[in-house]
Amino acid sequence: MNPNDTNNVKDLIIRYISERNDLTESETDRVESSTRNKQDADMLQSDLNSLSKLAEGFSPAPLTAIQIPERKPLTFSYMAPALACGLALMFIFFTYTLYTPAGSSGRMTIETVYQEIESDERFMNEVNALVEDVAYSDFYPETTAVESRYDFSDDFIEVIVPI
Amino acid sequence: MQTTKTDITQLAENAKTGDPEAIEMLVTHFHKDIFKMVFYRTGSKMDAEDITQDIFVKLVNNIHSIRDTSLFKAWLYRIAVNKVTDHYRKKAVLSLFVSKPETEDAPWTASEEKISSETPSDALMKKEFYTSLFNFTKTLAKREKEVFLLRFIDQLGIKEIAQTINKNESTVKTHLYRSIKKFRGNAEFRNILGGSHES
Repeated sequence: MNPNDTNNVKDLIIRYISERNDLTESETDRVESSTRNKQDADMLQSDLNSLSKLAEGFSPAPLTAIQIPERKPLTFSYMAPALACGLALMFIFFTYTLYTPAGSSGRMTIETVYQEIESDERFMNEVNALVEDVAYSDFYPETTAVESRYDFSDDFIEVIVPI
Repeated sequence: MQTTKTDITQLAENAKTGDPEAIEMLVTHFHKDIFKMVFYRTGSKMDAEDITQDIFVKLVNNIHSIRDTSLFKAWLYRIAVNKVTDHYRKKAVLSLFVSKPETEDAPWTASEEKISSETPSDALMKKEFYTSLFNFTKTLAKREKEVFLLRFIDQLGIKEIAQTINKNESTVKTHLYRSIKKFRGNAEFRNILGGSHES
């Protein structure tokens, strides 16, 4: 007999035990039609049955009864505090979201920034002072340690911004 | 009285809504099977008692979360498999601090299992069976061992095993095929089993 064929039959016998329903008709027939193959399969099955039977018989019986713990029911009284907290948090969240004007805090567009600057009188005065010709008063050269020999207008600018 | 799968599903359905009687009936029905399952994985009666208690506590505390009550048995065995894994994990951590014994015997040899009514030949046969089973399962890979024990010790079907270990049926069949192949080649173990069913 071809040794490959012998191995195939051995595998088939194991599959006959482990997954009999998946075998094709011809595969089942190959095991069942041969006396030797059938005997092999039956012996293997018998040993496995014996294993189950002995394991059942030799298993000791549990001595202590199971102490069933009292299950905390999911009733309203148990859940009420958690539900109340959840509802309160949801209320706060929605109130804050609905009544806070959009764009007042996080969403500040360039337009709103400009409007805010424009409406701030003190800030605008500072801006105006900067853009006017007399923006840099006399104390500026002192504070910036620029020598007074420089003519404030052109000389000063050449020092500050070299061409 | 034989409890059918439909009865179990109905009991699980009632237990899910918090019916204490249904919970108690489920615990009573599965107590012995789960104890046996744990015993053959730990080899200790004392550990089996403790772990079985933990499994049923988990059942009671989590039964409300079961989605499909028709899969109750697989769900319970999954809890059991996870608890046994936890047990071995704890043991592995503890073994880092406690010195190991010189030889690794089958756990049942050091078991507290001694029944006075047992005849010496029965005790010997039992010991031989435990040792052979232990030695055989040592030759199997982790997943093969789990599938083999669930199939032939706990007598679960392929579908139930797949649900228990969260693998598909073809994977279970592959592991089962490999474990049976190793069993087939283990003449020593098969002799013990063959001798017992012939007598």
